Amino acid sequence: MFWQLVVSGLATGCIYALVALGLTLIYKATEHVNFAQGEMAMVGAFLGYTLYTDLHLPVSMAVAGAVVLSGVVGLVIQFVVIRPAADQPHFNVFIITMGLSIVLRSLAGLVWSHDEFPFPGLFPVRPVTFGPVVVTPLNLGTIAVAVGIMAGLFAFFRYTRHGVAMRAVCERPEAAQLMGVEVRRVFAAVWVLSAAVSGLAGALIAPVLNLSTHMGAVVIPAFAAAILGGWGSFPGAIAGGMALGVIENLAGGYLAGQIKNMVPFLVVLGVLVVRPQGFLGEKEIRKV
Amino acid sequence: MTWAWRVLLWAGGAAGLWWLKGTLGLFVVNLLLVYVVVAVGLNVLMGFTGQISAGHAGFLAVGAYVAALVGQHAPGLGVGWALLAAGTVSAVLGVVIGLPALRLAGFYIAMATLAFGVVVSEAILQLDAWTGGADGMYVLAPTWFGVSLETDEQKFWLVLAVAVLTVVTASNLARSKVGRALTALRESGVAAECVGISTPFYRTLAFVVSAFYTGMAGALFAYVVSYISPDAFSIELSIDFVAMVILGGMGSIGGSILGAALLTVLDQYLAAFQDFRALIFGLAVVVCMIALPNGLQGLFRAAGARLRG
Amino acid sequence: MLALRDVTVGYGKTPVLRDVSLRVDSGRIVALLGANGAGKTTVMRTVMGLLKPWSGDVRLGARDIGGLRTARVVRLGIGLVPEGREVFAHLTVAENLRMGAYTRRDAAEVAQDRERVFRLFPVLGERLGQRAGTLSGGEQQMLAIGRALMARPRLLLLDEPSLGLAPLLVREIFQVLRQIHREGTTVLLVEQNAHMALQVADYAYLLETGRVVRHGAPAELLEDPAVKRAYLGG
Ligand SMILES: Nc1ncnc2c1ncn2[C@@H]1O[C@H](COP(=O)(O)OP(=O)(O)O)[C@@H](O)[C@H]1O
Ligand SMILES: [Mg+2]
Repeated sequence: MFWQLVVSGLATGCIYALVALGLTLIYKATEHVNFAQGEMAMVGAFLGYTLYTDLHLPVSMAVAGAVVLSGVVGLVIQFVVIRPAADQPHFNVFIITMGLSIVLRSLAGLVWSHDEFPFPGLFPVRPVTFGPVVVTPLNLGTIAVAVGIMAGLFAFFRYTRHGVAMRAVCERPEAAQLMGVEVRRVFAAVWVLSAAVSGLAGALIAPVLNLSTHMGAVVIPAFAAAILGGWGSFPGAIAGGMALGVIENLAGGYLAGQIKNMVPFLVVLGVLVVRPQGFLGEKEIRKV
Repeated sequence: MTWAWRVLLWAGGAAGLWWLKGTLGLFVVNLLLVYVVVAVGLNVLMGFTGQISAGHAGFLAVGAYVAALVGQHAPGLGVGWALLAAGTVSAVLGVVIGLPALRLAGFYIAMATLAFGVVVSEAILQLDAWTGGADGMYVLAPTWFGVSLETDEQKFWLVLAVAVLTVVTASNLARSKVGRALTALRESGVAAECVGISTPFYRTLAFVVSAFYTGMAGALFAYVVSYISPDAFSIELSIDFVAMVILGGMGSIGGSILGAALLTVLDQYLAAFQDFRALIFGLAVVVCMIALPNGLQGLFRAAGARLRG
Repeated sequence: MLALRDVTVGYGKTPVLRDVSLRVDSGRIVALLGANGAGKTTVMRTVMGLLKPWSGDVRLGARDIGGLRTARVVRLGIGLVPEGREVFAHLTVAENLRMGAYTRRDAAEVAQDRERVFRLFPVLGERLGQRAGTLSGGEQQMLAIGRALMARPRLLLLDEPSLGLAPLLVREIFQVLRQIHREGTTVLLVEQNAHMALQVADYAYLLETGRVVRHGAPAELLEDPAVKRAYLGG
């Protein structure tokens, strides 16, 4: 029982971690906090669903398409909404993304309706037994894909020219410009990457939650995860996401079932009161 | 502003209400006034200190349920006491949320308040012995010196009185030393510290005042709609409140009134098209923030300046 | 090579530079001197396209580069070692150098330039895997210069490279500067340390509150009583 809860918690946690990574990417590069991250994941999942049902693509292709199309959505958002507000205080941009989250949700409602749709899983749900633990391939596959993406991102930032340039822009945009980096292009690229990662998260979690416009709420556990791990830290986002997924699942399994929904919020409130820098974060909290 | 202008503005407001009563009915007017109280309250937080709340529906819910419970368990209690109780309970929770906010900044506060809003909804569901859970509860009409305020018209005078009181106290607050301190704080927390303003104290104070107004508004809301349930206090409502403040213009009380009025009226006309309604509200926030960071109030002010040459 | 003509520019509404004209001919070391706040950094930022001139023009050869995007200016062969070094503290020394070569695709020659940087600053070669933030001030300055060299600029701008360094290190930096120049890079050097700057420079400009008040060969400026009084300690 315990290990089963841990494994399925890890699977959910990986999703939180991916969305939290998306948040962290944008934050590190531009210091903007994107409230609409969850809606970007939701739209990505819907796009995948359309590819699957209307274009009859195989599931894996539909998910890959969802990732690509999410990137496009991220690019459009960056161009139309974020760039015109680039000179404004971060506070204003945060509010803009709040508005954006409503816009995306209502647009999705207009296009796809607010009903729930069954989303095909990339992996089967028939459980398999490993010694005393019974797990579903869906859980394991989700974990594998998420971990693979995280490793890929790590390698990208560590070893590629563009990855290193992104880190440089995060730290000192002006000095990066002096190296010949087109900073505005990097900002756009960051939104594309962030949206693509979130779109993947959406497509991975949709089979579990059922696809609906309410899926955007995943941003809340993602925020909780990022804050738990230490806001602005990539390892923190990943560790925080996994920890939150497991805590949530264990609380749901051993305590009252309804507690599960409140866990992210209690975690946010708890962490903010006890240790606002999170558990892997740097000591100082920026006063924005 | 000169006296003449102020009288003119109040008169204009009254005429506007009269017209709305004719077109949309008194119920909508009452709701509008409740939202005016919320928007002005939220503006104390957002406009004066630059702290954003994504959970003001939570304070509204607390006030509403306090009023409903007071009505149920102490039916004889006057409406003044009920409002005070609703405001106070909400303000106490404002301290609880505001205190950690001392050490936090920017979006952390937004997340903490967002979490607060959801925890309140969830708590209402769980405490179903008192609140009726998801079924909600009916709200008894408030009493004023033994008279039960049953009709929309009676409620109108109550809500109007509180709304006027809110606007007047908030404007005085804005002009007072405290208000100027809060504004200085928004401009730059550090600079405010330098001129001897205690940042933590005022930040918490802003939370408390804002929560008090919103708690009172919650009680009024309960009286006006006379039936409340947790799903009336969603995250969406919290974001609607933010939209009211943004649309009107952060830091401007007149702007908040305008924002609340505009969105309430729009809401009525778009009630049948929920997605369009949300789309328009969301777009209003986005466009307003990009093109008019000072809201409608800023637009009017700029237009006025141009007219005067 | 580089010429500013009647450039006026500032921040917000107040102009900081007024009708500044100066020239850096190919193969020279030109010094730009002036007290704190005179506008020296502003000149550098304008050349790099970080500020757009309000009037006047900035030319590189025949080309007007005034207000061109910084990334474009860098690709035209101008490099800046900014005031305060501005190394990427969270990146390793190797990654900082890699960022310096960001615009280049000729891997073989980039490798050669890396070797050249290690020849000029052997200490950087020993610290490749270390985060730049953990280097000493002097080492960070070397890294900042090395990073700029990695782009193989035709014209190198240095903004107060001696600032905050111990005298011995300052000498070392200036020696390297001479070396870089000998190897064919044109240099525009901003300094408050007028003595050192005039020793290496072929020509110098003196900036006071946003205007060029004197210019000439170092020998002339060293003789100028006003310059002596203000910048050379009597
Ligand atoms: N970002 C800025 N905003 C406003 N004024 C500035 C800014 N940077 C510099 N200044 C002003 O411009 C003038 C020249 O600055 P600067 O070019 O940095 O001088 P220097 O490099 O010679 O010390 C100074 O008076 C300074 O106060
Ligand atoms: Mg300077």
